[in-house]
Amino acid sequence: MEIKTPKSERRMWIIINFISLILLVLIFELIKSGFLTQKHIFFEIVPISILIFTYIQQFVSTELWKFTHKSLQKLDEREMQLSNKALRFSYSFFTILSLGLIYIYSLLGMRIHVVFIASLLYLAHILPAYFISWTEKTTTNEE
Amino acid sequence: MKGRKIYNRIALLRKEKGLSRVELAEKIGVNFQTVGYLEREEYNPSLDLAFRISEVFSLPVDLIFSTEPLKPLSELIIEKYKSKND
Repeated sequence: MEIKTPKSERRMWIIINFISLILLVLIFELIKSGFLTQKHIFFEIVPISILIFTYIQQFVSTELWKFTHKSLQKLDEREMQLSNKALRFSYSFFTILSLGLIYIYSLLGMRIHVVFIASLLYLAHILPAYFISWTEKTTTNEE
Repeated sequence: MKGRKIYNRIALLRKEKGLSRVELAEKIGVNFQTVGYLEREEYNPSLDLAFRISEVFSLPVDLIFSTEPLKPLSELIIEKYKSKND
């Protein structure tokens, strides 16, 4: 895993990725609740495209996604610590966020749709990479 | 529990040996980025890794790592020279 882009740029991509995920769910929920018509489903193309683009650009090309799914035997001791920290943060963040969202859904009497579940699963999958990309220093192979 | 900061002379010794970060990383079995973290003293190595580093440089562990800020080698030589002359 090599992180060559500056931290500020990485953080910007994470925020864009996260916002596009929220938009994806929001547009779907607005259609389902009748605020938008079925025709507006085509608007989903925008957040999906941004989500895929930022995912590939930030997590696939940098091998960050691969790093968070590597077996422990392939990591050195510092990387193991980093992976452990990222997973711990993701677990707490995901639990709190899921509980909060489920509570809001039940308060508003909304049905939970497959897009919502799929988005949560994507988030659970990508959160460790978010954490590492957000916190890690830019590395170079100099000296 | 947050551990104490461990100071080291890895960067100096690596340069003296003419090794790149990648070469040193291969010798001690870590990623080259970890060598960077060690050199910047942002990561405290395990005892096993500290011994592997000391084996590469053929030096005792306490000469490479310390819990106190390390004096420059030139200063140590001067001190040794002075004590020899006294």
